[in-house]
Amino acid sequence: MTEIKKPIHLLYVPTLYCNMSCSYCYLGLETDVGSGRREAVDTLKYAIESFTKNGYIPYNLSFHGGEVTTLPAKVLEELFELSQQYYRDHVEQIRSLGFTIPPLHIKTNLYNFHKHYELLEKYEVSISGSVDLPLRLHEKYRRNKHGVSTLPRIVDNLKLLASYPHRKKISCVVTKEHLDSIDEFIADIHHIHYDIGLDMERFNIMFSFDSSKNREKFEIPVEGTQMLRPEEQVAFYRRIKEAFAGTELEGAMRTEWFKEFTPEYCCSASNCGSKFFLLQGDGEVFSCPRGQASTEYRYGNIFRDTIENIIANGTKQIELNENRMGISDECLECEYFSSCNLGCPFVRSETGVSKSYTCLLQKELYRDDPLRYPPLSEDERKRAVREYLLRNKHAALDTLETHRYKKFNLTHELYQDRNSLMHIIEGDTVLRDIYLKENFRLEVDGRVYALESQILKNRSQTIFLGEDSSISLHVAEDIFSIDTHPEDEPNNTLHIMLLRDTPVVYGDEARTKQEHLWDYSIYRNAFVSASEKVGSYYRYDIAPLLIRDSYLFLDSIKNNIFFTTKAMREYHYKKQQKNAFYHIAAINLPFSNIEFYWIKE
Amino acid sequence: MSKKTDIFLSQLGVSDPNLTTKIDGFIGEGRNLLYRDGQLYFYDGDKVTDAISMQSKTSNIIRYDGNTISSISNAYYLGEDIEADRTRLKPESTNTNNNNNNNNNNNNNNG
Repeated sequence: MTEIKKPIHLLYVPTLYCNMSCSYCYLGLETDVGSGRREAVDTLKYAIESFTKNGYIPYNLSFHGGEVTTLPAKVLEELFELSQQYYRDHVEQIRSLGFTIPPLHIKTNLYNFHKHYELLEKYEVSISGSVDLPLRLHEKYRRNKHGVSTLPRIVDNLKLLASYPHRKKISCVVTKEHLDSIDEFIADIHHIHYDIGLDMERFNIMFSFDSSKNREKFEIPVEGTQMLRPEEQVAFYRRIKEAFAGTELEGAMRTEWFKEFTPEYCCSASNCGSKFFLLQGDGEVFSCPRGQASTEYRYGNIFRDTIENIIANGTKQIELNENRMGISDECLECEYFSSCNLGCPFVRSETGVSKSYTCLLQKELYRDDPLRYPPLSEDERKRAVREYLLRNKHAALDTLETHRYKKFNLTHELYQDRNSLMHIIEGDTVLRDIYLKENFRLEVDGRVYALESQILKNRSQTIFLGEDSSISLHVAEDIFSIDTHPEDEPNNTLHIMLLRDTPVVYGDEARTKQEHLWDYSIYRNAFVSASEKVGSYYRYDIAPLLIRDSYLFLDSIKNNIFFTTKAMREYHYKKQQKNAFYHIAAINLPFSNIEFYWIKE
Repeated sequence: MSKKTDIFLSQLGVSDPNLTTKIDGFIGEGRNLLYRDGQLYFYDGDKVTDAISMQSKTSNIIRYDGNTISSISNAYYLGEDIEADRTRLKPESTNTNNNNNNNNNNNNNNG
């Protein structure tokens, strides 16, 4: 199975054509032309195969326009079938990424909803309808391509939507005139909820913004469709809040209606291009429905570019767009910086504002729900700003307080395989002998423990000793010859180090280490004469040593005993002087050891 | 100038005479280049006037003004602690919904 690289949110626009011509549409003339119908299905099929084959898993695959429902039912059904199959085939992957499987979903203007009702019901498609409130303004602004009213049919379809048995909601766009008609706006929410019977719990409010494509189409903005000023957005919110306080819709008003302006949405991402993608029927990939209008938000074409490049372009293109724009000083000081990240970059580039166009409203929403949207502490804010500037506002980096000096200077070579402890040992014949696991064994009451270097092993043992224990050290017969000329062997010693787990601060490094209790050395000849030869080992009784000094062992405090030879110990320290990587890797005692508690009767 | 520019580009692992010419024509008072994360930005003051995609092995920010090539670690701006954390963070982990889609059925937004 292909390795999952990351989850993506994929909007699919099977046709750019829209049967309506809304006065504030940011796509302008783009919606006058449609894509081929066969192409709509083939492109989605190819895209699903290509994205998933490359490890990019759409956790949400939704349909957007243009107007999806202008497609023939046969094409729509093929698209739904394909999407359903996609979710079936990738259910485990999507869940493993922490997402639930969403229903099929379309964004629609509802104009053709009745025509496709049975098909939508069959595939349990979630519906998000775009409607203007008050409905009087829907009549005015949301007319069809021929300028004919759409309202009577929309009202009928709202009634139909009310009885639709699957997930559904409507959203509306608010402009200057909507604010001027806010009492009507509120009355129509009640009307749709209570009279038409469409549950308004999941209603969404969006604000229009000035866009170049809209200006291209209408030249002079249609009177009334201008974007609200920040103070007007807040006034709108406050009036809505006041109107629905204490009603059954208050909860939804607080948590759902203005949700677009919360951190859960793409607008608040510090780089939306890393996750959100919109694919058109012709294979073109853009950031989102808004970005469809601009080549600066185009990431490539799935038929001409590699998926890896398209995905990488998402992040790069947004960074580039962000770096082309400035940042408001107010943002740098904002306690909600990471909840917003300056908002939608497309809207900023279209409107020329250098902060979120709903900044004031967002702050009010966050302050109204401090548990969900807590303000950042001073340190968190600084950190969030620095992270953001590093990616998105290079020009502002020089305004930051910088960190001129490295806190740590550890060479990356430490992590190269050739500098690993095992590799260094393998390359040094003496070290190979020193670290042999066969060098020492400890026999306690008839049980034999193989002793290994504490800095190599991933498993360690702790044993219990006492005055009644028989404790013998088994020493390999050739141990005294390691790094020692034959004539020098008599000068070599067995070296035992006893430590206790009572921490002491040692030396120039001021490291806290186990406390050294004593070192014990015995020359080879004396050792041999005091030992019993058993196979290829000398067996040496160390119980008397430990019993003699058992007053050093404390209740419930661990002790640590190491075994080596004088020659092996000296070689280790010489190697440390010669090789910094070995020095670091063997910064703790490398000799064969075992830890023990002394049980006092 | 072109020798210096060639050296600058070689630090990014790029050799492209056309790009050298373009950069030499661009560099001047108040102008500089900034490379970061696959993108070479052309800055006139604090305004990006152009950008070119290119791949380089470096994770540092590289600045070039015709006289000096500066290699700047991310830690210069973020600090060592944040830089270490940054590699553990999952970017964009909280934003799961696309605007104008309103299909808020992931991340338990709408139950």
